[in-house]
Amino acid sequence: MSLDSLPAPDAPVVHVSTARGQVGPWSRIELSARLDGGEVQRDDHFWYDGLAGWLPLSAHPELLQDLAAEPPPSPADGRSQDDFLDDVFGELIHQSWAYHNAHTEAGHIDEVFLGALITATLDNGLALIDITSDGTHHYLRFEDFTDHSRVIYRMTHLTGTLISSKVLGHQARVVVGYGERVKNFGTVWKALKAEWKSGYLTSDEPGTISVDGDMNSSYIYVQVDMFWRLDDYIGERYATDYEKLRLHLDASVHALRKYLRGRFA
Amino acid sequence: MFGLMASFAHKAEMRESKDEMLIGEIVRAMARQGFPSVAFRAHDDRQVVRFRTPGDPVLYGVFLVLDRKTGTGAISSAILGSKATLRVTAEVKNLLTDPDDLVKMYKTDLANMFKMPVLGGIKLNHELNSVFATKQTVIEIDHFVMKGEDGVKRLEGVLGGLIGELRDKLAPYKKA
Repeated sequence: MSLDSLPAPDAPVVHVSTARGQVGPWSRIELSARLDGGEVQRDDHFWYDGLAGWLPLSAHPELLQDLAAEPPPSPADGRSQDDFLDDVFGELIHQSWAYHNAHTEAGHIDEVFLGALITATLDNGLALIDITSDGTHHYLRFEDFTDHSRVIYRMTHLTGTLISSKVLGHQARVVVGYGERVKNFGTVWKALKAEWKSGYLTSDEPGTISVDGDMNSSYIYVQVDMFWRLDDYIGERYATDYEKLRLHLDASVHALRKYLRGRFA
Repeated sequence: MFGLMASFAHKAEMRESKDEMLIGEIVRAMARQGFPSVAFRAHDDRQVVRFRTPGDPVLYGVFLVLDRKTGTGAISSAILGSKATLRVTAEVKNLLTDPDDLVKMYKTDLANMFKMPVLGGIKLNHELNSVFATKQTVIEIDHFVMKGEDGVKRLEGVLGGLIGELRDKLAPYKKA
């Protein structure tokens, strides 16, 4: 029995069941190398999407056979040996930059998200009135000049290295707050009392609503802790899902507005 | 009385926030060009934002420094307006640098050592794989913030012009 359709040689889709457990997914090229290196045995079983079940490698040599038949890169196409080696060197440099960029991008995805947060909030008609950032901890405050309500965000990137982001995804602690200006001293005083009680909340758990009162500007704020996955919004080459981001921001602000008005009505 | 005091405090707060409003508009304007922000350093009257420029044929990135000079107080705001310096630096990054490039860099860097990027001048600087071009201009923040879509369009025009000028200056340094 032969395999009907083989995956592309460089597609990492082949799972292998070895004596040490299941490994992969690997490309056929990588599988071939690991077979040569002794990491995988010919009596191990493999599977990729599209096959009905696991099959022994030894029974299907065509999985690896055509790889050897593919011509390796060589100067046989008419180029000089000099050009050929230049290309190989160029590829090494490109690979090095890919490695460097992967580490750099893992470290600054929070700031890409911060820019998306600013853009999405400005598109909703608010203006940025405060920004403080030391590169890891970011604080933003916006105001809607039509009703003077305010929205605040505090964000801390939790997975700023390539390794942690590969294991956990890009995680950030995000505090969303909503505030309104009050002209009644009694209401501000009520918020300050609630803030004093909030001071006892030292839990790291999400979903904790706390209250803050600002005597100087006579604003009262309610805010809630959450953990967001930044790669839900920022994709390959910085592509941003503004629709999802706006939905999540709108839902958070809507809930906090309802809470604030119900609590301090 | 409390309400009156709160109104005064709010007005002062708004006056002091104009540079932040402009930074917000700059971030949005750059995002509309497909240039995402990748670094923020923001404290008091000085904000630095770095952008990547994926898809740009020449540039690797742009960074902007907004330094507010006047207008945080009521009197200076009324007399001088809200002036700020906007420094725009564009970066070309080449994947490989060799000793010949480093020799050329020294020549350009020496020529630029005492050149200040003011009054329309463009300063070039080299750092290993990167070549930077910087231009600084004085802007009136009030021309761009709280002016609705007109202000946004005006800002996009200013940024587009500055970045375009720097891109032209850097194009000869971009290797294939």
